[in-house]
Amino acid sequence: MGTNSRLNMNEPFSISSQTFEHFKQRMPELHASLAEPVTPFFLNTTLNFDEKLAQIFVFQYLLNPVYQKYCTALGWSADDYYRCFDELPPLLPVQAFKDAAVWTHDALVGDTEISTYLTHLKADAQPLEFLSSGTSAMQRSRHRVLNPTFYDASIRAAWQARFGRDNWIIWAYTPGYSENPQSSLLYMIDRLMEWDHTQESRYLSLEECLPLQQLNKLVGDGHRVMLFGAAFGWLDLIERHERENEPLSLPREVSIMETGGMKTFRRAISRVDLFERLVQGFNCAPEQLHTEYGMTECLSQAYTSKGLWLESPDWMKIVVVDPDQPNKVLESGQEGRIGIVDLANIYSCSFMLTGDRGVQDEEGRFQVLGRWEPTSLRGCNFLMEQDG
Amino acid sequence: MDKLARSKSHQSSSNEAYELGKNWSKQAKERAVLLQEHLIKWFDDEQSGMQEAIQQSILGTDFSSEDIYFQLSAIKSRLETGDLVHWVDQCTSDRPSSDESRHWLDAQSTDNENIEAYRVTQLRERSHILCIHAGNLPLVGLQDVIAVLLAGHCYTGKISRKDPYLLSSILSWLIQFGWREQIQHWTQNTAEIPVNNYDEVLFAGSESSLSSVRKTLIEARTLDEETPWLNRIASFSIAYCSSKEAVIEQSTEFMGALMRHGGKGCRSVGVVVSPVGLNELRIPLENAMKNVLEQNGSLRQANTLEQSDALKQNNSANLKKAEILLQGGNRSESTRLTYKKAYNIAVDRVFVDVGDWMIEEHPIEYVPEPSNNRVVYWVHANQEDLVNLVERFGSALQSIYYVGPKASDVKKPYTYSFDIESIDSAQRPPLYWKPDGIDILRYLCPFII
Repeated sequence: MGTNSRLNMNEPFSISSQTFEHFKQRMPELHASLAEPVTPFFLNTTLNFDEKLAQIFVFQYLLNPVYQKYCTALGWSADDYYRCFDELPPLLPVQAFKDAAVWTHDALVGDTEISTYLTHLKADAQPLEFLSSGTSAMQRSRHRVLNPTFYDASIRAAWQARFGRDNWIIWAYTPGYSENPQSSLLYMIDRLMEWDHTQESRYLSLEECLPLQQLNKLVGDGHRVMLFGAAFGWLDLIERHERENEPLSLPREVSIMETGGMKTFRRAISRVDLFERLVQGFNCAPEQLHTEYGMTECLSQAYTSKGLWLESPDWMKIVVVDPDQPNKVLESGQEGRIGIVDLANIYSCSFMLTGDRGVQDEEGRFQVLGRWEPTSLRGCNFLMEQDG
Repeated sequence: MDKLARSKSHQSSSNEAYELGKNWSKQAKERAVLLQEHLIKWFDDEQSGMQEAIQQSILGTDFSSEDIYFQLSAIKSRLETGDLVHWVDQCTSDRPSSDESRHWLDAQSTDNENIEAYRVTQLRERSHILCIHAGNLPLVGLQDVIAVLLAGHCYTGKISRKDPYLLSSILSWLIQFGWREQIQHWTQNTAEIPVNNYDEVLFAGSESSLSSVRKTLIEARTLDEETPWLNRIASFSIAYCSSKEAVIEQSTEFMGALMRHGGKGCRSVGVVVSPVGLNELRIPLENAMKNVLEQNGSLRQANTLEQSDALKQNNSANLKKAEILLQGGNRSESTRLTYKKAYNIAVDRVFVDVGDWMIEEHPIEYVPEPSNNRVVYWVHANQEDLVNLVERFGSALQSIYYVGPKASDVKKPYTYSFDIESIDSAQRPPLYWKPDGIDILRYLCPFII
């Protein structure tokens, strides 16, 4: 039988002082990281992935009421620290970010706000709140990030792990972040631009061809350039160049990052077809094309490492699970629903079940094959299922 | 062709059509009387093959014996009421409403006027109709068969793999009674559909399978690109419950509309709209659901007995399948439901669950199209909201039922052109009911004036 009251998002969730003491003693590294942050906990190198996962599980079980109720209903408790070493904690469907307030930071310890003890949970002057794409009439995911330090650290570390520490100039064929401050993708692009020391990074006009002359000059000056844009945005750009008789030929020093789909364009295309068309249209090598896999509900990103296979950073684990039994991790090669453990998601929930269909190889790399429910078309990923 | 020539041609074809319509009416009524008689005989005659088809269906399909018997009983009672003669009478006395015409025309993808002109000239008596029955209820497709036969056309059918026995049995029976000329062929395999110069295709099934079936048939040259298709792809129905008392009084009919056939079929209710919140109806709904499931419990025992009979008859292949359906299917459903329950608890969503069934409350703004046969969405809203919801669901919606007041008391949504039906008729529709708002017989006879 279900519960009968709606979640009151404004009502603080409280835990006892005793429970908090238990947390401090049981999870000293996580406690230290949140009390006096030096290095974000997910980048801590003294603990292995599973140890960090187990600490975060207990922390989120105690302080995230939505996740706590989900876990309890599935037979998990705060005492299941060691169980996390044998099996994955329950993966919360990302739909929960639409249906409820999935965050940890409103808790009271007795009568005292938890941020008094865990200063990292204190709100910044301008806390971030990301919304998934969609219109106002649509139900959108809401991911509140009280303190952007973890997100910034995750963006930088994942980028450097994949593309190295060299400087990159970012050109984004997307709307600007200032007009869309609720987009987590554009926040990420904005940070990457901010970190470019040449200050040549910028947003490009969606109505114009690629400024090839400027691009060639940057390359000539020895810079590396990454072009960010949505799948169909790139196809539109290729068509624009064809229409205006401006042939595209991308220099080897320039790469393209495909960030998923755009909601306004409901065309279906398989990823293989898309890549072929991009390689042809940009007259570039396949190695120059990259894909980013991320979502509003997640503070970490995975990037393609070879062809269509995506690789996640060290603090993010991807699993492919049985859609009917999400606790059952499938073997490599089997198609299922993609689950994510993102240890950077400390403020919300690190254990998520996406609506995406995917497959993993023996090395843990994965491919996104489309939406799990074909009728569900949501912002990030609406490419038709894999060919063949 | 200039205007004058076109006008003359139109007048001449109108006269011709009038004569044709008059003859058709007489002959169709004769066919209705005969067909009604032969179909009722299939139910009554011990040698008709019906019993064998039922046993095969119980062991070899997903259908429960209770659902099969219910469906057969519903069809038989409608035949005995004289539905077929009534259908022909209705067809010749009513012009299709403009809404109805528009509805099927809207369903076509190319130039509507051209299609209508093409159909009127091409679809004469003894046209050849290919019926693709892709649904998943017992005797799915029978209405299309009847419509084709009453219309006087020739029938070729692709029988649903989920219901391979019952419709085949009826078709085999009918050809013994002189319907051979009209019933030309039927098969379960798309690849075995004979190449023919089909004048029309009737497709009833899911939208997801439609394009692949069409592509396969065109690639195999069974059809050409120009052959008109009527696609009926609505997937669920809505019930409007006016009051708590109405739900309690009509709980049997209401639960039947939700749970009959495992919630499958477009006439099953997937969304309930009510000014009463789900919480207020928790207990009566739980009790009503339990009653239905208790009946199903006895059904499972009955199936087990049938399994042992099958064993004696060395019917091991079917037995194995029945075991898988009864055990594996339920286990998977049960696990899925455990997660769904946990999720509802996590997000504080009001829900009622009994067995592997669930009713869950969603806000009107975000209620999605139902995707699971055993999960029904409850929307706490009034009639005005019902109107908005009907507009939002569009062609996915099959029927609107009322629980409680008479249909006339329920305000009809502006965009909804069909009648609002009583909940009693949800799973017992007349044989002349209009799937997706289309009278199939009328559709197959565009030459009737």
